[in-house]
Amino acid sequence: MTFQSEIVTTDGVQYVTLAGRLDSATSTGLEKSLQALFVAPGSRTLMDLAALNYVSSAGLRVVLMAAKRAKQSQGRLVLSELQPHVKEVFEISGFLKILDVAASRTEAVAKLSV
Amino acid sequence: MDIFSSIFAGLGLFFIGIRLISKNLKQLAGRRMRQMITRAVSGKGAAALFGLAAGAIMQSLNAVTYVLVALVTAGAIELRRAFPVIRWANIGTSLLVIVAALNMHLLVLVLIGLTGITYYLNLDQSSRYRHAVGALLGIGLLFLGIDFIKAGSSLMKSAVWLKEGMDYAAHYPLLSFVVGIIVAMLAQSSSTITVVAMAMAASGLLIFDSGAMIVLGAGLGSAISAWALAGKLSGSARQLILYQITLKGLGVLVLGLLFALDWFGGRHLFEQSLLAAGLHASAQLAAVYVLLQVISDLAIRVAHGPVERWVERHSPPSAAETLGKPHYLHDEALAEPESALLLVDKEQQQLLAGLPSYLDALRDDGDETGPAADVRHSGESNILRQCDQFLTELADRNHSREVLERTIVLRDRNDLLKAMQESLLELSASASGHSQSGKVRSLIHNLVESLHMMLSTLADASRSFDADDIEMLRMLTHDRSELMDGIRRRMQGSESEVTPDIQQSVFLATALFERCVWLLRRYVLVLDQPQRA
Repeated sequence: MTFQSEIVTTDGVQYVTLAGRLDSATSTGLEKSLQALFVAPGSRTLMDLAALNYVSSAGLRVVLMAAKRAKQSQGRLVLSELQPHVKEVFEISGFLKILDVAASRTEAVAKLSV
Repeated sequence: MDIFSSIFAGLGLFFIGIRLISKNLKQLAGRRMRQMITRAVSGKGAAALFGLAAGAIMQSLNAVTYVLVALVTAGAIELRRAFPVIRWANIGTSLLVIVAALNMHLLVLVLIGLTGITYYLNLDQSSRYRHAVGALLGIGLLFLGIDFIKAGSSLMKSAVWLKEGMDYAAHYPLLSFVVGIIVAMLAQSSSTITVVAMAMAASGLLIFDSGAMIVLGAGLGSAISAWALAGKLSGSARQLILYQITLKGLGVLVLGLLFALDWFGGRHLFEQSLLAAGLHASAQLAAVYVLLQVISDLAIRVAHGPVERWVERHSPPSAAETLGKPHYLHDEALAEPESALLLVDKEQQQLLAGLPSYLDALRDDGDETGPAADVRHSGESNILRQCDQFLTELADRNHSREVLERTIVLRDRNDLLKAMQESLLELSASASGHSQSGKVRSLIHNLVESLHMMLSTLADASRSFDADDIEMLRMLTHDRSELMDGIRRRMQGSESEVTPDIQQSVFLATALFERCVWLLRRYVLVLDQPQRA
């Protein structure tokens, strides 16, 4: 499956929806499009991973970079609806201990509203 | 029977002597040999002296080349500095031949007597003198052996059948040439064979033509025996062997042609010139040997450029060799501690950047054209060794508190890099060795991708020294033992088809992952220290 990403801003929350395969071939493009999200201080971003079915080291690094930028701009980043095998790679990578992860989109929005 | 016993015993003593000299002299120089050689080959004159001495001591160009192969492979000396050493060592092997041409009978007896006295005084038990005494005994036995061969051979010259046989052989120089090749291949030393031929010539058993052909054949035989080693080597090591073979081969070719012209012209100028110079039969063969080495040297000097290009093309540096060359370290920097520390830091950054590649074979995204993990490890572990030696030398030269503290930090990083390289190599070998079921394959993928991400992030952080990256890495590299335990239990319980082999593979992969994360954390902590090198 090819990789697709969509960024939509609604009610002050930036929704990033990722689908397909996030690997070294597709991560560079995503990294560029994410850069603009964290320019403004205090931005709130929800990364919806429900349709993401593969993530490689390069993809993990893009997510990590996004988390770092969010922190630097005093913003917030919440990941939502990780598929079980994607969640396992996030857990092994140690991401679940340092990133905000929500089971559903609603829960993620609630976290961003706090 | 007495004749053959005498020659046989003489040969035995001779070979024991050669071995004793070589073994004990190498031990004498053993401790600091590597440093000594590295310094010795750094200048033109020193390389000549070192080559001459090495050839004279070891009495085998093959043996000298083996030592150089080890040093070049270890990165102790540069390849281009090793070529002249081979040339000079070739000439150095002439020393034994020249000395053997002299009448040493009385000297040998005195030498054996003196060696006996050193044994009586228990000097052979002393840690300081035992190798010198051993070498002395070797020299004594070697020349005693030559004396035995001479004595046996002079008794043989009265035998009619032998005289006829030798006359026959003299008509067929090719036969003597082949004999020379075969015996030198067995003995691995052309000078050894020449000395035996000289002893036979001294007793009138070998005429000049046959003796000269044996000397030439021995030169070629020694080159052929080196060829056997070349097949097992690659890169620069193989280039050295090819250079040595070309050196010997060119000499034999040129002198062989000159001899052929002389003989077929019916003038026998060589023999007549040697006779006119007042040389006896034994010394004539010694002169042929020396001439062969000198001609080899001259021929390869003339053809040096093309020969060097040919060996380079024929055996380009191996991947491990290229990976094993430091990018930044150089001895001159040791004089300036600040620069020296910076160079080690740069070298370590380079190695750190190479760590993710150890996992390439296990990844869908991995570079398929890059070197395999074991090749990478073989090369890069050499750089770590050189970093370690460099830091030791630096600490020896500078005793300031700041330099010593920073040296300790860099040495810690070196140890961690070594441990990470070994763990990643083990992970790569173990995880790619089994056919895995779906869940295990997915687990290995997750472990590998996670580790790759952390290694890449660490490599970037060591370059940028970004405080946020380092902080993030500290958080990412938290203890994984509970998580890995959970995964292992889950794997054991969930899949009925999990065989002991796969269980073992899961256990090893998770244990290695745990270890790598722990090492990464240690490295982040060392990186985080304020005294950045």
